[in-house]
Amino acid sequence: MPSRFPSTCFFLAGALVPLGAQATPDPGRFFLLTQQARTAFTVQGAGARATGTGGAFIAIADDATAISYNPAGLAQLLRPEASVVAQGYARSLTFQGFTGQVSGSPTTFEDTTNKDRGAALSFASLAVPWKVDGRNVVFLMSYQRIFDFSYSSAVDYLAEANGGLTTQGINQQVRQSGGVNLYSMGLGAELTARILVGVSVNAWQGASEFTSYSQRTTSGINQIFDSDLRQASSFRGVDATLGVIWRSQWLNAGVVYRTPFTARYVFTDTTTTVDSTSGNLSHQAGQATGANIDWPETLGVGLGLHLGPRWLAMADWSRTPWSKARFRDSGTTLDGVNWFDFQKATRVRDTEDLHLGTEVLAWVGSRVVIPVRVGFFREPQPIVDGQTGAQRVLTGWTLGCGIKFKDLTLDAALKVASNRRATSRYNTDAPIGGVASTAFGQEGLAERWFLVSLIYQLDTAKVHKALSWFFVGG
Amino acid sequence: MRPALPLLLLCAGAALSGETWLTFFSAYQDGLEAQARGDQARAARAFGKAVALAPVPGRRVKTYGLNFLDGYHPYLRLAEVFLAQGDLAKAEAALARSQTYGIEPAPEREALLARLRARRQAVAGPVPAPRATVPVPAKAAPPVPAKATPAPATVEEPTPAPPRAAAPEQGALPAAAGPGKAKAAPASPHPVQVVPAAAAKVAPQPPPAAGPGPRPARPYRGWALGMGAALLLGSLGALWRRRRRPQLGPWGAPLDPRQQTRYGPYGINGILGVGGCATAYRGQHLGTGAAVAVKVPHPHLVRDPEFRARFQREADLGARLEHPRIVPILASGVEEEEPWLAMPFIEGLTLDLRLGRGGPLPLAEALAIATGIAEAIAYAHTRSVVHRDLKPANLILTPKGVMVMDFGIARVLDASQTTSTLFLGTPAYAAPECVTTPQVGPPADRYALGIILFEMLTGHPPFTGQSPFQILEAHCSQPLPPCPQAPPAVLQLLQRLCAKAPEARPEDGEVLAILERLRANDTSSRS
Repeated sequence: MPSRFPSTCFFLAGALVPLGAQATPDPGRFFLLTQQARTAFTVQGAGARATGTGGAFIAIADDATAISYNPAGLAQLLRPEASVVAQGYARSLTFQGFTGQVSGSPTTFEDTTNKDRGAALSFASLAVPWKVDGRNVVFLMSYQRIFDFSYSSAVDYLAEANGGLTTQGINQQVRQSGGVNLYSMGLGAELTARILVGVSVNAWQGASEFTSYSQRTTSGINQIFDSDLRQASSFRGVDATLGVIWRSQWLNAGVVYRTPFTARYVFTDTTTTVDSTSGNLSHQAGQATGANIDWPETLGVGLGLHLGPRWLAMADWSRTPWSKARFRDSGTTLDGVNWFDFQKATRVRDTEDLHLGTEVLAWVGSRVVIPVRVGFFREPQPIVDGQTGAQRVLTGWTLGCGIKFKDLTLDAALKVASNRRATSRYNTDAPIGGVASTAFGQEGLAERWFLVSLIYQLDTAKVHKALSWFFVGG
Repeated sequence: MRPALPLLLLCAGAALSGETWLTFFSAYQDGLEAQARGDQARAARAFGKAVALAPVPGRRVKTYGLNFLDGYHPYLRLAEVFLAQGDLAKAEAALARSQTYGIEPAPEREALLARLRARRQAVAGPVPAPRATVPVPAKAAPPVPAKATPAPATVEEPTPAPPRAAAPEQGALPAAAGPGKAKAAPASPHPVQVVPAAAAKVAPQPPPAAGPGPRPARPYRGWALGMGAALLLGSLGALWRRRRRPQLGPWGAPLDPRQQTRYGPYGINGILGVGGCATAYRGQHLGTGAAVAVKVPHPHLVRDPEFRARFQREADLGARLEHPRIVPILASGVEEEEPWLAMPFIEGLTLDLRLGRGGPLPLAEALAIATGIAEAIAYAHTRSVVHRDLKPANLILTPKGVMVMDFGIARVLDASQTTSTLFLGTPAYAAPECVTTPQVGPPADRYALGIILFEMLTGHPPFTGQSPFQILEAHCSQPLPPCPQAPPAVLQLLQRLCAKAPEARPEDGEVLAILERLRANDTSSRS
């Protein structure tokens, strides 16, 4: 017999069920993909150099990571370049001061912090330039981990009611793996000395697995197994990115447009629950559910100022109308529903990101360049809290440095983001089917990202010779 | 795609009309590569472009990314190319320019000068005596003694070609922009042999331009910086304006600064609850003191015209319904652009809370509540109103019986208002036709009544799942689970109410009649 709310958030179902007689509870239901992206859902480029400048790179984009910001920037590469980017993160999500009326009595929720960390290869590319009628043309192939779902946590949530006489707690263990990858091929070309254009075709491919195990404790006794949820999903789609850069000696301007596309999304889930009276386990295996989803376009504009031979300042603005993110072709009433917020499309915000940064170069000796970078960013997230209407807006700063020696460039960047808002969500791991809450508190998010990029410039003649041998022969 | 179209047109136009004009370092690298291949003509053109773009040599010059030229020596490279081509006049002019700037390495320049002299001597024969020299301006290069002796016969140079008139695109030296050109040319210790006519022909010296360093000054620097600064300031200003720090009200809920202390004739005393669309406040009529609940949409929703229209419809619908089993709408209005509606404050417990606290209900109580719901929806259906979101949270249990509230997403059976493809119900109580049909009718409410009756008897809804997909799918395909708590007659009613096909469900009148009969039978059997 299935339980009423067999999800990992059953405790909240029991403790935070709406109580106001006149309130209209409205369970917020979230799309698995966005839920698994956790705290941030921002599609942006890769690379420690760009991250160090606050993520502002659209107008400059002059290294092997250019394709992820503006493919037009590829046309500036004069030598073949290979790049590898790795990134790690440490995240802390704190819930503080949650109080509410539960079953008629004031209930206090213990402050809790959910921490996790991870690292992964985030980008790799190979760019090869050549000349066509005296114009520089650059071809690039790249891999980018645009969303990394790797995640693991074990958190205790605890509530006290009736003046501390009753306590209820849940231990929730979540493991998640997978992500969404972007496989891209790009071409950048120099039209004139002033104008560079570029295009890339990107194949999106994602897969994820999610496991959640929950255990409940009531007043220190009666510890019972509650639920074990397993989900798997896949995601496929193709889009294109178009870019233009206008450049002069002192000013660069760039525009990049990521086309909208339709992706195929399929997921299955299996739930194991326990019958509260008989103690029997119930396995509920869902059928694979498939739908097409509309992924909206993104328009970005950037400026780059050459304030001196060694000083660069950059500013980017980009906009993504997430309110257009819809289900299609599912054959159900899901069609037309926003996949960020299953029931309330009006809660989904279009986002406008802002990135500012600067880079200063210092020469050490005759062959070593040391760059120093600093930046600022503001990245609003599309989803707002279903109850409070508060939007998560990530703001923060970045620092970066590196070293360039001969043909090798090593860059590192630190990105620090934070947000604090009023929310009704006491936990984050209710996969789908969040339960409405009448308890409110503060959610504090602190993220630190560390990126390392390695770019190596190859010998042009040798690369051309190798390509000629491979494709032409002889 | 529309924003991309003008950009593509712009680029296409530029491509058709514009000439590729490489950056100086690109041209310089082209020249180096061509020189390495032995393509001297191409190398000369490329180096010529490079000095046209960046006439001043440099020891370390930033190019793109973190790359830099460890020695930008275009004049020495030009001299090499011209020497290889046998164009001694141009080579001499290039060397003269190199000496003018004094940045390129002097030893290399001296070596090229030596080769130049050797080539001249090889062409003209031995020069018996020192000839007149022309002073070439020099800035920092150390004095190099003149070498008047003829070059040895083993000079590794190709056979000199006769001097020719160089086309400008073949590496003609452009205007020099260094400070050296602005100054009076000092006497040079370099005794370069005079080739006046040829040198004048291939290397005309235009008026000097200002600005030291590897980048020539541009007149647009000022406005470019100004425009950039203005854009940055504008962006920061816009960012500042958009900043919002939510103020917290009771329970930590954000307190909208526009929140009113009164709405129409009603004063606000506190918050009753916060829903997905609206906040319910407890209030009272300022004249009569009657307790009310005032419902105000969340601020972020008020901006949405679709939601405002839906909210207004809710108020209009509620005002049309007068029934003891339906929570009425007392009044509605707009207060400082905030729409609101007022309902009487009903003391009681919602059915979902009742089920959460006490579990399944006794059969008699469940049948009584079901009868009350059936009366309410039957009345509404006669007014062409379908609730479409019946669920335990919308049912208040009062001492006088159940009352149905929240017609917030109910729709009048009017074609113009039922074309939405959005699924507006709650999946656990959604009829199968909600999945496939945008328009649902009274049978959907009767289906929800069946689901609620099932839940009252068992303590849980018949179809659950971890995702709305699963729940909706179960409504469409799975049979109603067993309900051992229901007597056969009640089970039969449940089966009929929860039929997958809307037309198979009983009409409102029949439902009411069956429920009354079941209640009577239950009462008689207990007595």
